[in-house]
Amino acid sequence: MYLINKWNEIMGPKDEYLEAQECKATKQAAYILLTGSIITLYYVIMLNQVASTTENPITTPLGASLIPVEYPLIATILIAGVASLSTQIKAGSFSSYKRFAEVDRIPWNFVTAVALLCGIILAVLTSGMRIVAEIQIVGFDQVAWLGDFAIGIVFFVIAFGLGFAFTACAIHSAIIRRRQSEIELDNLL
Amino acid sequence: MSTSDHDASRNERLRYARINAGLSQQQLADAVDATRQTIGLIEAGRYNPSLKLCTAICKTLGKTLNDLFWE
Repeated sequence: MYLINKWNEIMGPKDEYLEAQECKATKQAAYILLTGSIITLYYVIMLNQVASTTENPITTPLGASLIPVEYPLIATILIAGVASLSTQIKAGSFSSYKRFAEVDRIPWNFVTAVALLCGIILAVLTSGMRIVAEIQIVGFDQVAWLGDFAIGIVFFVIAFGLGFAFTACAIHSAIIRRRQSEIELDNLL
Repeated sequence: MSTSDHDASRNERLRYARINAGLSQQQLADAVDATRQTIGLIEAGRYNPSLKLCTAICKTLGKTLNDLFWE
């Protein structure tokens, strides 16, 4: 609670219209994620059921020819992210915090912070999950620590680069859309 | 009078009050912790503000809720 209050203090006030748009985008993403997850779950259940009733265990060469479970999950996450982001951009916003909502130029420090966060999250996830997988498969003694950290660094660089470019483009599009919206509103009055 | 006429007059009341107070949309937005876009949307009748924002706008412009937002 203290950290949230401190964060809000640093970031300043929020604009209620933009906050409402942010909630709308989040709700949209949540619906897509829920739908995609349910579809994927049913897909896995049905795969296992069909494999069991037809006596074709999936852990055979047959398994390799099926659509991997990760694919619909990745598609779901991507669609949810893009849909949510495009809803916000359409409203001319990328942040409901007033200090960022009204910028006329791309705030490069904010973009760098977001890209860094993307990089760190992906690096930790990549290294961490590889280590967890290795501990279970080959045992703690056989974990390739250096290799796992090296892969984490590679993923950090990739995520930082993509995060930087993607965030900058999204903010640029939001700024253009906000200007268009302001011109439209000026013409109405 | 139709509903749209009511809305139009309400939106115009806010706009006139702001202009009479000598404030631009940006200045009013800064005073009430909103963005210029939000003030523009309220004046254009495209966004219904919360009671909190209505009150802040009224205080800034020296008006009552009745003056600006009541039919």
